[in-house]
Amino acid sequence: MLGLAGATLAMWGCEPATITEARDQLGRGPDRTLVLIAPVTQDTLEPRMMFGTGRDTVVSGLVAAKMDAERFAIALAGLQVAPVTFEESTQIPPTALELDDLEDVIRGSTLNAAVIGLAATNSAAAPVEVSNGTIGIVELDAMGNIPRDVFGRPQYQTDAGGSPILVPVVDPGQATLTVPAAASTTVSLPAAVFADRLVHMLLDGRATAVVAEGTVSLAGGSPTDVTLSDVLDFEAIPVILLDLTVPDTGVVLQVNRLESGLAIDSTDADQIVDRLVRAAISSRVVSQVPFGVEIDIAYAPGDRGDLTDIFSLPDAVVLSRLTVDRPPVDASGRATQSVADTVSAEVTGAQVRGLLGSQFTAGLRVRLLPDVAAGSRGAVAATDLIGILASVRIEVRTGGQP
Amino acid sequence: MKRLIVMLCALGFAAGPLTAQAVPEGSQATRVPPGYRRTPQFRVDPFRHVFIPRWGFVVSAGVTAENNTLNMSDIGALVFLSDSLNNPDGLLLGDVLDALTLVPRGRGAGGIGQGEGGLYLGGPFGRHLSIGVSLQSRGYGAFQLDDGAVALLRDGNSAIQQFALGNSGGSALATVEAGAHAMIRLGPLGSDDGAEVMLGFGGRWIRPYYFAQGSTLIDSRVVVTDTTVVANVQVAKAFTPTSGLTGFDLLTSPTGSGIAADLLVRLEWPTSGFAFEALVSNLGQVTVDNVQLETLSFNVQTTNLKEVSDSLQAAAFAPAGTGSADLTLPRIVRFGASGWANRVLQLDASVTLPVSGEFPSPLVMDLGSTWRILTSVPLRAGVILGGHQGFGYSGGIAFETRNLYLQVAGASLGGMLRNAKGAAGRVDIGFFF
Repeated sequence: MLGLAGATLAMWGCEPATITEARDQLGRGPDRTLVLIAPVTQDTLEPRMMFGTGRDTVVSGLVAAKMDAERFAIALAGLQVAPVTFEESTQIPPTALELDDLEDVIRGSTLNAAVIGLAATNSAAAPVEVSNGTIGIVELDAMGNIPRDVFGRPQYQTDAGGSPILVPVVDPGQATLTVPAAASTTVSLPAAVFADRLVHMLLDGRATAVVAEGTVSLAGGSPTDVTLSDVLDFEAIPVILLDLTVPDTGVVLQVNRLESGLAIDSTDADQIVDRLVRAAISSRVVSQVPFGVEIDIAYAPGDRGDLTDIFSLPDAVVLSRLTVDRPPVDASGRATQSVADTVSAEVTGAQVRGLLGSQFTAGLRVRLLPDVAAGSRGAVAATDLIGILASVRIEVRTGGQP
Repeated sequence: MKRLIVMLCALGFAAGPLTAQAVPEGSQATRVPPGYRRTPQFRVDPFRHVFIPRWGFVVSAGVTAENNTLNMSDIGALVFLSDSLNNPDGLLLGDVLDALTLVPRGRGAGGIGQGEGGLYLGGPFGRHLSIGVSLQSRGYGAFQLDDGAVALLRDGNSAIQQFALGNSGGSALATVEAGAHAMIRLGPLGSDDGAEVMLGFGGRWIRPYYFAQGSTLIDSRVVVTDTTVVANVQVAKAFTPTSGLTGFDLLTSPTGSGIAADLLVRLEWPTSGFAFEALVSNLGQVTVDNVQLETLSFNVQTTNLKEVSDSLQAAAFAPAGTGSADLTLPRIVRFGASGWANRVLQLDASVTLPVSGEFPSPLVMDLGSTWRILTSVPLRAGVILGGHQGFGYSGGIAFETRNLYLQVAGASLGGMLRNAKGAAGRVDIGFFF
């Protein structure tokens, strides 16, 4: 059918003899510039979503990581004759904390707020008291054993002053923890330093264990109220808040995103590039995190994987840097409004060619910058985010052929 | 000269009082039989053959097709580039963009096509009556691609981000028709130089054998911004199934029928050389049964164009039932005038009013001249204004003898030949007893 039509038109002198002649014929319309604006990449970094599935939560409006509960039980039968000393430990696998894109940020920052939610349940008919109770962190040796000092005590992780990092297990304002007879009690134990060390050890892949120790004694009643089967159950849930102190040079997170291009056939794309009048890529960032933000965006054609540094590729196109200052914060260090910035830069036909294929890899490098004068600290609220948008404006010549 | 001036005034709808006069010796009124005085047209005209001067039959065929975007060379280029033998790369996106640039801004792409062909048998009963029967096949087609539907790829989304697909769509109908038409001649009125009044009327029984229609539904639109792409498009198509049907089965498969009436009033002043006429045709409806309806709904909201492309490729028409379609035939309302400038030249002008509905067409004016240097061999030349193409040329030749009538005519619409955006052609062969 096509051949018949072609033959008929050729007979009438209406069919061209060459491809160039045909293209010139179709391009006889008015000389126009077709301007198309299309999205290139969009990403929203939401810190509250950066923790492992099912473990993200919100505490006092701040983003927090709620780790899996750790449980242990202390047999109370010994209380019939004397206080019972206990030491329980559990190894925390590195997979217990999943930080995803935020890993680099946390690695470079100091966590300023965390609590351990501790629930104690006493099955005995007499109240019990925990004294000298602590929760600490140890790095297991190569055999998976807890390292100990000459007195047989665990060698806990220590702070900058050399003191062991221990979380006291006490009632608020008290020196001990009392658990009523046949009842439960829950306490929230401040554990910022503990959590900061725990998280950094896990991020470093070190063999980490949490050790709880102390002494349980009767807080009243009679030893005969304790039976052989009575136990004191503990359930500890560390909750780590994203209240960060970042170094003066800032912290960087870098991620790669596989994006869909305009899906134009290769030959079509070459023709479009040949007709390109001008192309520009506009980038915009909207930030509501309590830090200044610098964002670099680069893209390269094709799927370059998650680990490739897109910025270092020879065929990468690096866009102009986006920079926003830290937005105003409240007394708790939370951002109270968002800030935005937009930059635009022209790109060449060869550079825009990468966007015309079926897919390309966009590299995002986000640097969080502290307000040093304000203590370099910021608290990430549940509503905080960094929105990044890049769009391309392509001007293509149509018509105007001789 | 006086006649020419008066006639031009009449064509300009500013005619003053006319004075009856004797038929000038050697004028066309004395040279041309009344049956040949009505100049044939390219357009659908159910009274075309009722005017034949003697009993006989006429075999005729004619077609008109035009669009407002592509000329013959454009179509040739598209065919050439689409042909893998000529161009292994095929038609490229840039070629399509170039072609879209040709779509007139603000009007969108539109086109119409009409054709008819068949047999007519009839002739005059005395001086005052002519009757005839006809068996014809007619086809009507029209499409309109709303300007908003092409604006995205023609004008871009820099200034406008929302593109309504509007009333884009097209329809095609093919029918077989059996008709009977008659014409009554009265006059001359008042005096020998008075007007002759011709009243034509007739009807046609119509049986459709093919129907297809596609259209966008209300509020179909595409929005493309620098952040999102939103497309909400609904398309419906209705058609009579023809798969597996051939020959006579194709003609009889769809059921349905319709009746159309045609009316004509023509006034002639033979001695003065003027004629005016008004034609109303296709008064009626056609019901097409066994019409299958399918719809396509395409809704996507995304941040990249590839997802739109993928979704569009995955979209498919879904059956939405079978039923009947009541179609209003393209109602033809035409006013014409003609006059004899001298013994050789006859001038004609007609205006066909725009048509809306399933087969829309714009207003069109035909201006023609008939040159009878040889009385029996009229040569025709004219121009066509309006329509989808704006300006066209027409020409033709005929042989008018006592026993044979032959006419061949053609038109190049929107330009000459290669530059034409449409064409029309007509062949009439009449044999008189």
